[in-house]
Amino acid sequence: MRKYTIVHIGLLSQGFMGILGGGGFTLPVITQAEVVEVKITVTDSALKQMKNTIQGEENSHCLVISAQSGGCSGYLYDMKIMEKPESGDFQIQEFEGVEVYIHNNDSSLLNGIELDFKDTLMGGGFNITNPNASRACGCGQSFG
Amino acid sequence: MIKLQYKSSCCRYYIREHSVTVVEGKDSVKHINRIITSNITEIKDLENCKSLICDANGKITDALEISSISGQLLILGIKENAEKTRELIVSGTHWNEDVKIMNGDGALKIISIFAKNQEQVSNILGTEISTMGDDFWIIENDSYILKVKLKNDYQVNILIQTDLIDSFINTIEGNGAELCDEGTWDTHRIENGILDNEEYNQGFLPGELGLDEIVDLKKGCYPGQEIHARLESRGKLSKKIMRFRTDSRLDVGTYLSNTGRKVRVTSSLGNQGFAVISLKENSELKINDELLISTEEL
Repeated sequence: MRKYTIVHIGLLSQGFMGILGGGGFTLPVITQAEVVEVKITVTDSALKQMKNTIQGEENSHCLVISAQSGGCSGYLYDMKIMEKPESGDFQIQEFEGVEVYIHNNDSSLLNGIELDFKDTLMGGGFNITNPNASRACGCGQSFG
Repeated sequence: MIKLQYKSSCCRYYIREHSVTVVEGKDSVKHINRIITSNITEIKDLENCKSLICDANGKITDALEISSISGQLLILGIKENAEKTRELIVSGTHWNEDVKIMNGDGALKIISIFAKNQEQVSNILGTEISTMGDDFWIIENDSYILKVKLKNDYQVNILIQTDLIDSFINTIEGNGAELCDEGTWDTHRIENGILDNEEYNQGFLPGELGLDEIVDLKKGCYPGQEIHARLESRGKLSKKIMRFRTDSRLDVGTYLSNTGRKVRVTSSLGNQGFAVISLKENSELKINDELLISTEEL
């Protein structure tokens, strides 16, 4: 499970002060505290598919893998080929010229994952095996 | 019909503590909607929605009241579950979404004012409550007022800054309201079917607590949705919460009925309370061969 910290940033809660009659109080903002160094593995079939998809745009585009709340088991994987984000909050791993970005906020959930690709008509596509997951949904998109 | 007794001639108030979380940002509704059982995508300003958070096994882990206030989401939950729920909310934030989560524990309190007579509550508040709806907060001076729909009695919940609570209490006590103890509050909630931490924190499924109406199986995936959908399609709910009464004493705990089925008493005033009971039981059942209890739906 991820770890968190509470940071007191007064000005961020101004709107909330207003709705309660302008009495004036500030609320601590909760941010994530634990960032781990991410190391992922990519199978040959996944790498081949990544290269096919991103072909010719390796310099400007990357694969971003992330996690968000939802799904049957608590979290959902999200994968996008997109222009390389400018934020410095990402950890980057390169696989034969293709860069995979993982945000620091997702580092503890996604560290150690193996990215695979199955070339089948039914149930095909990218597949993630996650050592941090205690359970996973049958569809493979959700974990917890 | 089970009749409970508390001094009905006056208007009472009870101060309740909740976990308070405020979520702001343009993606806040989308983010919270992925976690909860109900659908709040169309939530309006000042609207109050009930919802649940469940685990992957479909069991309740928190009961929430979510309000949209000036573009922010105010989330009130069970005080004891605050940290776990907030961890879930924070950890599920997508890196590319505009969501800011704030801890408001202790900053706000809810005062519940209740009476047998609607006019009494209006007099205490100095505000007519008969015209209020029960889905939207009404702003009155420094507080927010929400009418609560109950089976027997009349109740309003007041959301107020903790700093302002003393002067508010002075006002309502000046108008005749009396602070009630936990026993009186429990009597009120048992009589009116109001569930509390004692029910929500026992790992029940929403249907077992009669909360199907705040589970939306058409909104898409949320933790526990798979289990809830399966229960709904196969109709296999085996037990449900009931109000019980007995001539003797039945405390909180787990018992076996004469048919060998579990009876889980979650709240008890001694001879009345809430229990989760098999749907195969009759409305009257015996425990340990002697204690006869009668039950009715909430």
